[in-house]
Amino acid sequence: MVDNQDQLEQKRRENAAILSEAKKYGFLLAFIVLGLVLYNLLTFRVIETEQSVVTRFGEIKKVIVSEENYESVVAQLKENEKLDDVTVVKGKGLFFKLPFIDAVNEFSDRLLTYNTDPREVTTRDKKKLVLDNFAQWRITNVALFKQAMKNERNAQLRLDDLIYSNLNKQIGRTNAHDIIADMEQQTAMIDAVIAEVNADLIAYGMTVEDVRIRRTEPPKENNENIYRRMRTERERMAKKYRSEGEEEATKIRSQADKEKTVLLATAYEQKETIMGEGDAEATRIYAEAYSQDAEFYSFYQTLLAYKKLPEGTKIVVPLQSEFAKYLLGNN
Amino acid sequence: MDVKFKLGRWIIPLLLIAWGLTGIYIVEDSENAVVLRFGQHVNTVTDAGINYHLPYPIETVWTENVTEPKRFEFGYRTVSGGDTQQNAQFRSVEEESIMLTGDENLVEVETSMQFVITDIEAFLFNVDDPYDTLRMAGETAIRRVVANHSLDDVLTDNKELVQQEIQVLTQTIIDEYQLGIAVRNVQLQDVNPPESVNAAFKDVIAAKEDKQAAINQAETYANDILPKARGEAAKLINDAQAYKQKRISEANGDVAKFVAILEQYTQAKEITRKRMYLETISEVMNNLEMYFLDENGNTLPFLPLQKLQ
Repeated sequence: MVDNQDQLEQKRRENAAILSEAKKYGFLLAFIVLGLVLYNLLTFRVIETEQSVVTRFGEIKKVIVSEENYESVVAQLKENEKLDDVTVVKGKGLFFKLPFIDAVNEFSDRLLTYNTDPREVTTRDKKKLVLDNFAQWRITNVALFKQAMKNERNAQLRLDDLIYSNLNKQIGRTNAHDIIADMEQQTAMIDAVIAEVNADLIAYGMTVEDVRIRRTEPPKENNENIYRRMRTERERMAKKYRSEGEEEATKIRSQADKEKTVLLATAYEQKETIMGEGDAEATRIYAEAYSQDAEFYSFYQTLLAYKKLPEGTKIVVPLQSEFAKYLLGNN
Repeated sequence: MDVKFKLGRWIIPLLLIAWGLTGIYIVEDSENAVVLRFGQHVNTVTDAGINYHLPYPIETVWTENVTEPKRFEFGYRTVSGGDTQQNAQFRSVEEESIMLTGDENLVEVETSMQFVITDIEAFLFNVDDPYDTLRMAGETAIRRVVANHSLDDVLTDNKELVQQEIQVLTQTIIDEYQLGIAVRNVQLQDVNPPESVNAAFKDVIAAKEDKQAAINQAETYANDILPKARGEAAKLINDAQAYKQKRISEANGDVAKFVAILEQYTQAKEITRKRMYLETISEVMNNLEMYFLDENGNTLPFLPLQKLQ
């Protein structure tokens, strides 16, 4: 029995220890959970790529902006009577808020891209161009932006209105060729658009940093005309090359023909000269020798002539002739 | 009971350790990382290795590959990369590739652009969509530069310069946006006249070749006839020289003979003359039919006796 009682006592003590231990950890766990809940309710983070607006029942109470924007935001808000008591905080990281009362809106603190579909515009010289542009912009004053635009989508619409109308105005003052090919002209045009757009946007806490014309092209319907022009231009070039080929070829051929003719004529001239020289020299040699005794020469030649008579030649000799005398031995 | 109780004691420290371990991260050779504490940028890691950040939600890490060159294709897309067995396949994107040149022609330009991230902070923090922004900047630069050059520059003559200008202009634009990206290389892959004028362009090339062919043919002709003519001319002259020499030599021969006979003759004129005469007659007599003409005009045949035999 005593044993039994001791055992019970032991058991009871053990249970109490477990209970107190469990309580200890239960409290710790509850504390952690509570801590996490409070962390989420009482704080918010502003990450490096964002800026935030804290509103209390719809009223802007606090803005958290980057260090670069801080000065200008403070200055701008001071001038705004509705927003002059907004707290401006610079930097990113962890911030406190009142749970259920404060609402946090996040906005991008990066360069944003506004992009449109291509649109048709008319230039000063009444040519149609398809214009495709984009713009880079950022939220420079998140309080003004929140108040005026609510969100980025609305801002894009506003940008669309402003950029398109200003660009269109500028394009209407410029000739098509300058827009397409003149880089300086385009830069000047864009700068003017940016200046005008920003003059409006400053009140909305936005700034356009850059507008770029991605494409400027004649409408697709014009392509066929351009192609036709390009084709005829190339045909002209092809024709030119072929004619040049013929020209060159004819030149080369006729040059060769000429050279040939000249060559042969010169050779003929030389030939005749040389042959003449031969004849003259032979004649001189003969004359020199034969003039030693002209009478004997003619006699000698006569004899040679006889020798050259062909076989069977009939000759008639006068009986009185020298020949007959010799032949008949009459002398 | 005892075991359970002891495990309970370790649960919370174990959880804390596990939580703490989630802060371990690895930065590879090719990567850079930024550490954000409650969203605020506190550190940038550029060295590879194992690192530690305070566990979520205190700190987070964003890593980005910075050494591997990335690539954009403008005006075409690679359908399949190709390997040793199969060639890479490409597809044109006409809306992107057809653009206007400075002399208001249309040309199809396909460009590739290689770039790397050089500044991870700028890349992550400055621009909302850096890749898309680069793409737009690149497209703008390509069209801008092509529009500043003539069709022939882009097609053939000045490709190098065009590539370089595109690279510089793209870099200028993205530097303005502080994109943290460097364009390493721009290559004009394929620059062609648009499909419907291609035939005319090819014909120009054919015409250039036709021109050369015509010239070559003419030169062949010249190369054929001129040597022949030179040969002919040389033959004429050689023949003439041979003739000249022949004439002179023959004359000298004839004369030498004549002079020799003349010498004999002058020594004994009458007798030599007679001898020559008789010699000649006896020599030619057999060959001739002779008739004598007497004072009355009658002809008498002379019959050499040898002939009758």
